[in-house]
Amino acid sequence: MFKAVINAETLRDAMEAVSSLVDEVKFSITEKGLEIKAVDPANVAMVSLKIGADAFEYFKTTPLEIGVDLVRLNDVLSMADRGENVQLELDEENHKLRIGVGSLSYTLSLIDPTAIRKEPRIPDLDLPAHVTLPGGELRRAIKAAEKVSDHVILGVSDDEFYMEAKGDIDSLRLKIPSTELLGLKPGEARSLFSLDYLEDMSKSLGKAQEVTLEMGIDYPLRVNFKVGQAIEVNYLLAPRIEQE
Amino acid sequence: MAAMALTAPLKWTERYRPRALKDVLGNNKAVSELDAWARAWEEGKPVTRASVLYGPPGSGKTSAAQALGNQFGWDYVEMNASDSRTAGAINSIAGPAALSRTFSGKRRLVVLDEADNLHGNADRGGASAMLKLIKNSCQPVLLIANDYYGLDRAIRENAKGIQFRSIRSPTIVSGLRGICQDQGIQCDPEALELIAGRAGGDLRSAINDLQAAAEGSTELSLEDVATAERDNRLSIFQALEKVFRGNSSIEALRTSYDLDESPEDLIHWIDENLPAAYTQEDLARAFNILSRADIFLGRVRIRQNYGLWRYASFLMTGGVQASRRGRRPSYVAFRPPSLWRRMGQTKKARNIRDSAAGKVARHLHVSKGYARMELMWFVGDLIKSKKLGPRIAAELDLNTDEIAVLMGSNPTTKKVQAIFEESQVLKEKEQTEDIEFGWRGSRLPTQSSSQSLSQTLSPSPTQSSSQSLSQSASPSPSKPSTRERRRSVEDRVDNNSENIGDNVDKETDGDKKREKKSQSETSQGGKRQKSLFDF
Repeated sequence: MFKAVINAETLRDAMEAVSSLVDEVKFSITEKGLEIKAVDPANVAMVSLKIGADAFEYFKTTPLEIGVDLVRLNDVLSMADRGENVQLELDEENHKLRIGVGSLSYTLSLIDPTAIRKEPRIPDLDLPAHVTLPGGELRRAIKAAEKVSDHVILGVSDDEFYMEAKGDIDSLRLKIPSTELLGLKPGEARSLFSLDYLEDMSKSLGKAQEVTLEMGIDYPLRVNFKVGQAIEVNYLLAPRIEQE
Repeated sequence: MAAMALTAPLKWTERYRPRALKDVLGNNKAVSELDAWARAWEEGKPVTRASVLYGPPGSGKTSAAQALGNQFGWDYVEMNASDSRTAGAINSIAGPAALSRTFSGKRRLVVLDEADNLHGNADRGGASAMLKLIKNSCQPVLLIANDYYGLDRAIRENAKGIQFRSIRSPTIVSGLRGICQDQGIQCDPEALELIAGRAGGDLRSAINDLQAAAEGSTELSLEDVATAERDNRLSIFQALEKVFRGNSSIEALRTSYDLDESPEDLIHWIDENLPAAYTQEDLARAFNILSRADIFLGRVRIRQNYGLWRYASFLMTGGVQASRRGRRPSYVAFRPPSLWRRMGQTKKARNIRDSAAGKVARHLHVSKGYARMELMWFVGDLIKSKKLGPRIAAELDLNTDEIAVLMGSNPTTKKVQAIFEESQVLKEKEQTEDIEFGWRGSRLPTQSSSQSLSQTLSPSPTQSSSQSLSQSASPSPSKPSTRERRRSVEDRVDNNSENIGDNVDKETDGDKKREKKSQSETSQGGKRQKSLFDF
């Protein structure tokens, strides 16, 4: 049994954070809320997302797992207006999710959860440097780097966060001193990342008030932020290998 | 996406995949080469970033790749034929996988399965994306292919080739025995040998056969296996053997069902090899029957009634066999149809002939077929005359090859060259006159260009109607079935050969023809204008 009501925009933003990396995911639903863990087809980026039960207007469930095609779900959610609520109800017999949006009522066919890629084990990394900044600012930086190259170095030195993009002809450097950051925990950090992935992630982290980046030297990047008030999103991105 | 998902009722071929390289059955040499390559990666930069595992189906290539990833604890990213493998897809999945570190810090094995099986349009640009991938990868890449030479040469040169061979039958038996033990099935050794023998070195199909015969039971006897036979495709040579040297017409017909050839291809094979197999009256009778099969094939083409194929098939297999009264032929070395080879060889010559016929036909408002059959010699004779030759060549816009074909001569001979050059001179003159006319027209005070244009085009409506009339009324030879058939063979040969591009306008090609016609109309219109102007 699973029955829930949630604000349409909240759910839409949450799904967008996941669907930028994967198309099909498994929802793990318990009394505590809804959880998604997924890894992209290239095993380079992971996302984990938790929607706590208190983020829902109404939430009642038994522990269960369902497989969802996010492209279809997003299609349905795009029909909802800003303030509207969506009702979700699982039809266990027919493997369908009933979605009510205003006066519309959809039935969404579910995917066999065993046919979806196994949930990744999200590694527990201890990353030395932490940087907190507004999502919009990070998004702008990523956009700027994209004009120059397809990969970018993120790092921390002394008390500033920096970003370097080197293309074939042009290069770009961005520095943000700690005074202009929302928070900085200095540490040794410098890693190369693919901008394709950062760009995909920036779609939803750009809306966040504050985004925390955790970095190391040639180590994965962890990005923590919140969608709305209660939804925690966590990205993990493997670094690129620097070529000679 | 990347196929790693396992569904609930597990196939034994998946369940018993080897977990480590030492568990891979057979192919010890290939496995140790693979192991050495992987160790080189572990220790630093190997000689080649990529390896190609190639060999027949079921010889353990994919299993070895998975075992390798498992044994070294490497991350594993796979793309196979169920993924789209356009340049874009490869660059967005295999690309980042090959250029990024893993979360664990170990290596990541990037596997492109069925790398020789890129599908034309659906996988556009896939091959060059693969090449880029294996050249730039920072992680070990494995390409898996059945046909080593189906891969681009550049890919082969940038990767280490590791060959897998069919697995020997005793090895397959030992593998099957292990599965039976694990499943708690009492098995008859002879039954396993039968399965292994039938598999023909394909371990995967052997395991599938075993599962089909034994799953759910506790015992496997010879009878359980004997009933479950594989649906094998016959080779054309086996089929010909049955037709020419067998004793049952029905059986000969059945072989044609198990064959991956259409009756239209099969008849050429039989036609080619019949004289080698039969003699004297047998041969005459068999050819007679074969000609009747051919008539049915013709009717299939005309009426598009493929139900008639059954009669054609029976006549060309069972019928040919039944017409043998003499003794059974001894060994026959079957040959592929020489017709196909000849069509391939003469393709260029036929194209020249057809384009010449096309030009004659367009000018005389007859069909290309008619021009080719009835008018070519006549035009050829005209060209041979010193006075007319160059003018005709210019009028028809013939090139040296076409002139040579019409004259029955060689394009390099002086005579042909002379006619061609003279015709070029004539054409040039015509062009200058055209320009002069245009200049005259522009002397008119207003609307000069539009007027000259309308003048040029004015005779065309009557022109086109008369042309289409004459064309529809043009006599067409009344032997449709053989013509049709020949055309089908020509088409096929043309399509098979690489350069379809130089296949000059085909008779059936409506659009092209119309386009050409309209071109010729305007140019003819232009000429007519000139003669008016001459008054």
